[in-house]
Amino acid sequence: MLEAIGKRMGLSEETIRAYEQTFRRKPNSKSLPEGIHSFDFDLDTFQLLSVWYHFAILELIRVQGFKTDSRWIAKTLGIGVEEVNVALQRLLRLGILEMSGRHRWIDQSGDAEFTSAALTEAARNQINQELYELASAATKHIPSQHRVHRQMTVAVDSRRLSRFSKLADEFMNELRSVVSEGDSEDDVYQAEISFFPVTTLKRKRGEKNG
Amino acid sequence: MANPVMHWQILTKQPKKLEEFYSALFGWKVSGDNPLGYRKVETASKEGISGAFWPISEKEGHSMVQLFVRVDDVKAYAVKSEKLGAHIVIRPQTLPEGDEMAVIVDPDGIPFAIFRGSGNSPR
Repeated sequence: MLEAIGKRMGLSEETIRAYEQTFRRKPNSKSLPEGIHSFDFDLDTFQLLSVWYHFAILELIRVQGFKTDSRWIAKTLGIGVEEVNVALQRLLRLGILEMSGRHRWIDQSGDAEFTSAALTEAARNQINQELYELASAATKHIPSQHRVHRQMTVAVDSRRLSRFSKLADEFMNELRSVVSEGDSEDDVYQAEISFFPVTTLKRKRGEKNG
Repeated sequence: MANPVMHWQILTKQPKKLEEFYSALFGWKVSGDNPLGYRKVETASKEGISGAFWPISEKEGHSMVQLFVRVDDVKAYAVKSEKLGAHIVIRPQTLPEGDEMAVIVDPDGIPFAIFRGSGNSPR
């Protein structure tokens, strides 16, 4: 179905594949409802994947003390109420959030596999930029005992980049598994792995670093 | 049960600007003191119906006016609308203050909402 809609909307094969991969679900997950996909599917999905707080809202639902209140969500995530409401509409349209009671919202993304490999390059670049800014803000405003940062600078054989990428995927899966062992979530964290050249060796002639 | 249009909603990329515009033009009172920060408009008149401003993303869609029709069974009307050629954009949801609503696109592509609740607008 995604393929048919994507082609009708003129999306590239690569983009359609990315969407399909993004919403590939495990067998017991609910499938997205018919009809939902056809409404602003490309824009909604692009925004969903490229703006960090959509998934932060979904994760926040699991946190103790969560309130079904846009003002509380906005304050908790440090964003505007209107940004929260636009995000909520998108999550509802895409069928991955359900408001089922006064105080009960359900994350319907289930075990959707959301990986950076599933993103289009434009969405990936945008969310990377946002996450760097969040990480930078965290170093300024969050006490060090509440966060983890690791750095390493190392000479590499760049032809092995796909192996490093796979290693990053494995680490993320392991982290997800460890995190899911907890049963009393009280906060939402962001994990992000970057592995990139710090030299100008792979750049076009004349480009500088920084 | 009759199904009256009870409420209007302006979907806008600039809710604050429009709030200021309509308040200055007509003297409407706007309040966002509710769980969703929904900017409700009170026209202060016994005639007509009141409405609200609701934000949409600056990067997508277009500003528009949306009508809200009160029904006694949101799910049933959502299903009925599909049978009549509409499609559901937002499935029936229960809002933080207990009302139920859904957003539907009619066969001509115009979105509207249905809601069930005791008030004049979804809460």
